[in-house]
Amino acid sequence: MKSFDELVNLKDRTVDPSVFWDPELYRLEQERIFARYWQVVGLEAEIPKPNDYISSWIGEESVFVTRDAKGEIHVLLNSCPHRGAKVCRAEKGAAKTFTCPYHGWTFRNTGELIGVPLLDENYFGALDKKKWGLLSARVEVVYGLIFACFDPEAPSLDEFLGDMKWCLQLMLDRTPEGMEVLQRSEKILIDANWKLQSDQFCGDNYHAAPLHRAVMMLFPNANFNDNADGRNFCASFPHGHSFFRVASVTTENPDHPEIAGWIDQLTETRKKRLSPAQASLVTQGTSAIFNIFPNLSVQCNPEFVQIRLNLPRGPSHQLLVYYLLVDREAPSTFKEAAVETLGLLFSGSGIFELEDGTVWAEATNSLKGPIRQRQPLNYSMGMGHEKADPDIPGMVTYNPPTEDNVFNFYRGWREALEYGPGGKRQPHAIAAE
Amino acid sequence: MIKAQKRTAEKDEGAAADWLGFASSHRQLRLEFEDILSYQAMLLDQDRLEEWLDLLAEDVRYMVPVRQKIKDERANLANRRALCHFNDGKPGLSLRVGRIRTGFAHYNNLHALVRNLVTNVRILDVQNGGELVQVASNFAVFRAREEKEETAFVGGRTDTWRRTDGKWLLVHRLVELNHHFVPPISVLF
Repeated sequence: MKSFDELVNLKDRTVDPSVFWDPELYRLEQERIFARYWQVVGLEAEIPKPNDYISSWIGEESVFVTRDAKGEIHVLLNSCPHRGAKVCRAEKGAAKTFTCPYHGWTFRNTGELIGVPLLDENYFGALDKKKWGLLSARVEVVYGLIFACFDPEAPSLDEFLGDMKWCLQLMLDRTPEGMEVLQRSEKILIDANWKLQSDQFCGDNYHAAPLHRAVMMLFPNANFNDNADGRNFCASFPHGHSFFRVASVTTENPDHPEIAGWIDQLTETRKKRLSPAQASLVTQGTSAIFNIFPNLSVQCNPEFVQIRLNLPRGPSHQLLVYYLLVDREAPSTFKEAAVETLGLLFSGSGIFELEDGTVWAEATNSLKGPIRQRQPLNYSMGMGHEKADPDIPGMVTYNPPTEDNVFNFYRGWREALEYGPGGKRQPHAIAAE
Repeated sequence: MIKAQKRTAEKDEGAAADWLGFASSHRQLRLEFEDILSYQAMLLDQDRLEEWLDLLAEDVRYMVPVRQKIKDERANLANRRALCHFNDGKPGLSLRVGRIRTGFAHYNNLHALVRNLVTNVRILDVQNGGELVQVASNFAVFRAREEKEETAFVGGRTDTWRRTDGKWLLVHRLVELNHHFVPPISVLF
């Protein structure tokens, strides 16, 4: 393993190829990022009633998310404390208790061990059930996203998100009724290192026109570089969160003209809920993509919000879990159209998305080679042009796109591996010194 | 056998006889659809995608639901519009073909070999004096792309075909993919 300075060089904004294949680094990611950081495991809207549950993952590990009889949410490791078999066996459902099929240990949906067969006869009553419940995470809900953290020492979610919350509010605090989960969950396997998707979702708009040229040819009115109101920006935040706002990425659906009317109404509703600085950034066409470190990628269009859980499956493989959210108040014809549009454009097989799948896989493969190790990846675009802004938090770059926000993911990654979630924050602007 | 199993076995024997009887009396139609579905598969193998689109009715609905690990999962597949890999009308499918024809469909271009296998063709229902047929089939699509990446997509299909002016057109296709987790789907089924 190389030094952290070689792996992620803050001065030159380069990243070493071994970051994408070294099994030692992968193991460190599992232990220091996925086992210790706040990550999204699902949405509140998936478990609306007491005793509902869904299964999900933290990194490679299976977890399940329950709402107990009192309405509280629990995130539990799906591994029986006794011998490790799966305790929760369906993708979703409703249950007050979960019984392990192996030896019959039974757990309440809070994680407590409540039933051990033959406790008196076999254990002579000597098992302290309180010590053998399911491993359980800290849980926080922000804009309907269920965050879980298995590290009791990590800072609070609020501290961890910091000013990124301003961006989350800008894009996710839309209407009084909130959003509903229209679709979960397409599960896509790609032969790529998980970080390539995360860094792209930090706001790589540079790739849109070349890689997605096929879509541009099919939709000649779409313009990915449109800076309609002159206020497109990228922002980088401590701990590796990044955000990119675009004034107008429209892929109109001529089969559904009623959508335009709903979008006008929605835009007005959204602006009223935000501060003046935020409201000025919301227009009919405002879209954003962002990544909450480590692995929650979000794409917000005026019409819908798409969320991806990005889960590593070894250094060269990933699992993407897709969610589609729409505003509850949207007309039903709109919701139907949203499902179709998403499946066509932004599903794992979408005409927009297929191309990303190949370049990520090709990169993951080529970055392994011994010759390739001689040349780091370059994230220097726009270096030095980011700065603090009076209206927008974080380190901000206005149009044209920069790679500061994309590289910021690797600042967060390096910080996580060097120091862990409660450790020293990486300073942002070493390059500016 | 215990009583409940015996009762079910007797009921199944009756159902099996009905099923096989129906198949026997629709053998000719089944052969006709084997030809149609083989032809359709051949068009995909040979990248004749526009001709493939020509076999679809203007009001076609093409659904590929996401498979879920839940109780009674198969019961409502056809109604699961809101949980699909694909849920397209003809315009959507035309755009998918259009993407490939731009020459910039990097996931597909120059790389993929596809081979569509169609089997287990069975006539499920015949209506409208023989002008509307429901037919099921199993399929496997083998795709070889970048270097050693080979994928087999496997599943079943329930189709509704309508004959208009002597020509059979696909009106509805429900694809039951045999996968919970899928690689990017760059092929048609």
